[in-house]
Amino acid sequence: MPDVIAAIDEGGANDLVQDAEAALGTLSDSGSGSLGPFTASWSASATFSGGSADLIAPNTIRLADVRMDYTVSFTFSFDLSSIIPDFCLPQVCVNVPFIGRVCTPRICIDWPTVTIPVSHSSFVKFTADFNPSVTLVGGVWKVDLVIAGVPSLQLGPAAAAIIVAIGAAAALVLLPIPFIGPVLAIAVAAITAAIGVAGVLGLLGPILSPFVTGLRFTVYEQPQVFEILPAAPPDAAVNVTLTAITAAVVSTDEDELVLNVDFSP
Amino acid sequence: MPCERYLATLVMMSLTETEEVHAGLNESGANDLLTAVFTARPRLLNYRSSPLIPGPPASPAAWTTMPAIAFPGVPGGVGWGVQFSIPIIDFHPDSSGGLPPPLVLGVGRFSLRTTVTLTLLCGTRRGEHDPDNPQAAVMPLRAKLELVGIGHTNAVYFGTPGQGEVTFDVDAIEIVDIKPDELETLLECLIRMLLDAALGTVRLPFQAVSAGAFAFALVRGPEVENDQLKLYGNVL
Repeated sequence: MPDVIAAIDEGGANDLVQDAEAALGTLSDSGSGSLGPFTASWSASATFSGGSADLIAPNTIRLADVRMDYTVSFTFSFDLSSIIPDFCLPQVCVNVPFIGRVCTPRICIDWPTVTIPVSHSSFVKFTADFNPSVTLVGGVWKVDLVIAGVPSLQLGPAAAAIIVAIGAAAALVLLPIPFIGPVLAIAVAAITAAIGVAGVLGLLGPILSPFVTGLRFTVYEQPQVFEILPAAPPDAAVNVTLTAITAAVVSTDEDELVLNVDFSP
Repeated sequence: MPCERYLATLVMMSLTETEEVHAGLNESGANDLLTAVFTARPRLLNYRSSPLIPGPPASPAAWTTMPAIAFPGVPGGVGWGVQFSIPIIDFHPDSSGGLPPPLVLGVGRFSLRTTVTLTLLCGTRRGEHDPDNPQAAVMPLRAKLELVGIGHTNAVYFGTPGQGEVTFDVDAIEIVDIKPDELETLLECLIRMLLDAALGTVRLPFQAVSAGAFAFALVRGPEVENDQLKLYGNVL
């Protein structure tokens, strides 16, 4: 029999997971990827909350409706000339009495390269199975709930919202450009059409999925040299050494996450 | 027993029962904790009136020094020492091989085995009457007794509701083969008081009983059964 058996039921596991989600804090990442025909540099952050735990013997903790709140910011640049043809106002000459021939200069419009910033915050819920994982690294015992497999993230609504956001951001950027007025709507439409929902999904999926696929919630963390009593002069602290820890889901008349701990003085 | 086999042999009742969290400290774990406490703090087991009471342990820090027993005509009082070995606890049911009568390990109780070494600085007053030996002579006399006791556990709360410590109380001890019976009874009462006081200095935080797992507020316990000390609570 192990020195200590610690067990928690599903109700307690719910609270435990909420605490672990809060302790995980904000995850963040950055990089670059394809946004339709464009290349976008991006940064993203995500936090996790909620979800209800279903303990399934012998090794599964199913978390349903975990909420991932995220913020994605990205910028992409493109040459406006690639969607709106450059054009030139031809030289116009007139004969003015007593002055002679007067000509206007030839004016050519070469559309600039523009950078469009977009930021979008939303959330997505998912359900996934987790397995307990026990590690001893650097003198610290940890029991993590590690996600098994890659849950499907329903990002369609977010992608549609981002397309709208891209259009709005593009309009703001293009508006100050000289001579853009008559073709502004065409330019915005061309940009959003070039990207499309598929293009947003192609960027959003690879950004958000890694937050989920590498997900692990720490539900137990103690140093291997475990302090029973703190130092209280003249007495020294009292420690034991945690020598072995196992974790499993046990099903009896209810389902419980059970940790078995052995230690030595 | 390997964890998997142990888990497989668990009865159908859940560990947490009607609460959210269960922490069960097996008697071997309890003895490891007591060993850790008393090894780090040997002064909790070793008491003497002066360094004239010889060790082991050798280190003065391993002793609690207390006044000698004052008595008229005994200069400086009666020097004494009391030392316990680290108690070995056995939670109900009995797996120690039996208790000496009249001790009975009742439900919810624990038994313990330890030794007590009593030391007396035996002196004379001959210095007053013998000019050739002006110093009063003292000689440590020792008696080491094996004893068995029974006791129960308590929860002591402080601070946040449900937070606290587990303590151990000694209810009775038995020292066999001391005659006459009155002397045995006297010694047993004296040593029980001392042992209860010494063991009473051990206060195990609830989180130590669970090895730091699942921070909880105690709702039920400590309960002693199936060779374990059990705590039940809800997640904080």
